[in-house]
Amino acid sequence: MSDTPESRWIVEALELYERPLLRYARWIVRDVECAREIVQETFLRLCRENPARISEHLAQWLFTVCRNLAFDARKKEGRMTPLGDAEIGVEPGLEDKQTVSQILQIVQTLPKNQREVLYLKFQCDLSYKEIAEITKLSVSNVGFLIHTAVRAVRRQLLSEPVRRTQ
Amino acid sequence: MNIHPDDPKWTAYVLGELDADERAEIERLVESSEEARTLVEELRVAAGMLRDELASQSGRAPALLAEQRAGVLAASAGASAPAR
Repeated sequence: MSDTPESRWIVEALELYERPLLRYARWIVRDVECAREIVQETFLRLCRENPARISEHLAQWLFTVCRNLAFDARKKEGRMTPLGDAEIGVEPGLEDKQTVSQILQIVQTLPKNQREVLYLKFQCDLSYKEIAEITKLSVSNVGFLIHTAVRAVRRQLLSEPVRRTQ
Repeated sequence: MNIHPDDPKWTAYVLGELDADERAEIERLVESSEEARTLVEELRVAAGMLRDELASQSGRAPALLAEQRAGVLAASAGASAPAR
């Protein structure tokens, strides 16, 4: 493949977002092969987009497309309750408590809407505004959910000895 | 001055999500109140631990298969470049 500005843009997007998007998609669909297909389709759609329209909010665009494709996939698979009741959260393999840190165990006990915004904030490093656009929540609601979740984590950490696993 | 720990602005402050005026307001509270300093410090620790834990998970994330990545890169040859 030739190294053109066009391909470099996509390569840079792949480098930055391939794995975070895969984790996010796998988190929703709970199947790594399905998640890979979703993320590939996300990037194929990126190739067809007008960069001038989305380059200023690339992360937000990618996560929004990925999220929509993932929920569509879950609905098609018939594994899913309606969107509003969808359970987002515990990744395959994370159920084994021996391998999960105390922090992640606490996160897994949080409501699904709190888990999603925590993931987008702390793992994907998105802003409240970007998270609001992706999840279709208001910025103030995102702030409330993150604050509530961080306080819950803080409260549980303070009440129990911290046991971190690597 | 009363501190309201339920107010989302405390975590927004710790995460750098406030505008300049809001940030200045929190900083005044932090300067004048032991309770506010304690709250901010505890939120900072919890947020830091969350970031460390969740970010560390990224490194263990799966990747696209080689043929899927190649498909994207092939499609990218026909993509437009963003205006720089």
